[in-house]
Amino acid sequence: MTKSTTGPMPEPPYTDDDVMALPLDRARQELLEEIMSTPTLHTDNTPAPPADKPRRTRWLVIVASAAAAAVVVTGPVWWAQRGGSESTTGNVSSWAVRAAEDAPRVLVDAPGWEITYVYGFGSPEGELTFSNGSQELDVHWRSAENYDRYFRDRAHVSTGTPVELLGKPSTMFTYGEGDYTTIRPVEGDSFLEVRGGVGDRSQYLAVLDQLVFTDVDTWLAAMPPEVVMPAERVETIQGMLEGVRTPPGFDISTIPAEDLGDRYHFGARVTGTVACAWIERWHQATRAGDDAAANAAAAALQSSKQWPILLEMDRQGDYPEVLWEIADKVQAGRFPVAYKQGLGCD
Amino acid sequence: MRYGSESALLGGHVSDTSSAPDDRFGNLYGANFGPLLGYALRRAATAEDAADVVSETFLVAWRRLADVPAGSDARLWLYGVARRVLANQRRGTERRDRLGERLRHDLAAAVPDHADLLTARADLTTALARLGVVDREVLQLTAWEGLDPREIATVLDMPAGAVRTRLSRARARLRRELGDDRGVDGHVAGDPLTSAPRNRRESS
Repeated sequence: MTKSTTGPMPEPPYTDDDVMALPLDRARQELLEEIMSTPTLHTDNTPAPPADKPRRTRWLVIVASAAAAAVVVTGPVWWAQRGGSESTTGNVSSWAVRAAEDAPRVLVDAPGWEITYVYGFGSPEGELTFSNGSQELDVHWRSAENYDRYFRDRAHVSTGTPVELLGKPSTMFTYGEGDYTTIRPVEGDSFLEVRGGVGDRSQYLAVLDQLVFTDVDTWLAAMPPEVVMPAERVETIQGMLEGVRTPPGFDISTIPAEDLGDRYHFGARVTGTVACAWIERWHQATRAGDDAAANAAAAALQSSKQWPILLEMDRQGDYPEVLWEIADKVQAGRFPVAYKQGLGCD
Repeated sequence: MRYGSESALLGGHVSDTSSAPDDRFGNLYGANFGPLLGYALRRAATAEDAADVVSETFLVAWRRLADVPAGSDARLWLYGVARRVLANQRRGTERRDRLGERLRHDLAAAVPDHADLLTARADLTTALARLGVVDREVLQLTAWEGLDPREIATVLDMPAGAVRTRLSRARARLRRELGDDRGVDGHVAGDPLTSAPRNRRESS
């Protein structure tokens, strides 16, 4: 990890020396003590194994956005039946589908081109990178409110040239030989910018011509393989729910699909929905004075410490521990005040 | 209450094979507190946010100590966590724990001009702000944290080859931006580097 130069990179607002000179010794020590007095569920003395490969941290404690509200719905426990029903499958992936419906579903319609990187799926602004192995093209989608600023900015780069992009008169700007960008006017809530280092001007324009809008299924199917695809979602959920105690009548269509996340994030969605359903039952039973039902719900939550998917996720991040801490509160008869936020089902 | 070894903290000696988790975490903390705080300060809108990033990241490391890789990859692991904590801050998610009050307080006192500094730097980094998010992250990790492409690949979870391509292209793009003297007018408002996350938080 040695300092390297990047050419014209601006200096950072703080250097490491600046930071080291800050008078924070006491605060640093206090934080250390605070953290180390925080209980952990796994305090064995086993040394950490050497990482077999650089590991990505998927620790994220998901706190749901308003769009991901989980609704407890009663219905048949059909998820154990392989295949399920098409309509419910549609419900399960409905958020992702809605997100895709709102997104600029652009693909390069040419052999060899595929999406290699996605940033910001389901967000107002994001970026798709397409590659055919030797060429790359970035498609940015941005909020409509930023259109004027970006257009004005690019107009400083070079004189704009009218081109057609995805059936709409647009403006191409030239950063330099082999580096072009095109801004497409606002459509709906967003606009597109397509920047590429795909060769000379004619090659860039040729790739622009190969951009197409697609339907939702086609677009989602073109996403990189590591994301959980809607078509695979039911099967994935069924797998994740193996060994998981679910409330009577639990319906997997209540599992929100906030984004096409990785297995860790999706596992958090699945287990969070189940756990929230149990907590809701426990809360209702407690208020009703139904001790048996309350105890059953608390026990089910305690069983989460053996749910295979959580044990799998526990190696990757912090979400399972959040859930288990909440389960312990319930077991102790305490209402877990912020459980919806902590589990991502608010 | 268990405390880490102060000598380990002060000495900055890293022994990844330490048999005691407390010692291992103490070493990890001592060796990486400064770099992680620098990472956070260079990106967070406020000193308090930077303190929160440090607190949350180390808390995750404490709880997931067995998963923190050995050697220099530990810092990359921490950067990866910090990156997600920052992203959560920008999305306006709430903190789950409230640790590090003193760090928040002392850091805010130590860098009272943080917002002004970022604003001043924003003029200098206007060109950087014009780049895409991923290009910008690759450049920042290279120049500000001194990471090489393999290390950046670990932090961003991208193939190393893709990082090299990105880096080369991002450098060229930045060079062109810097060669184009557009002044503050050219600044694109709303970019993560130059606009306060708290503003986005309020609007989200």
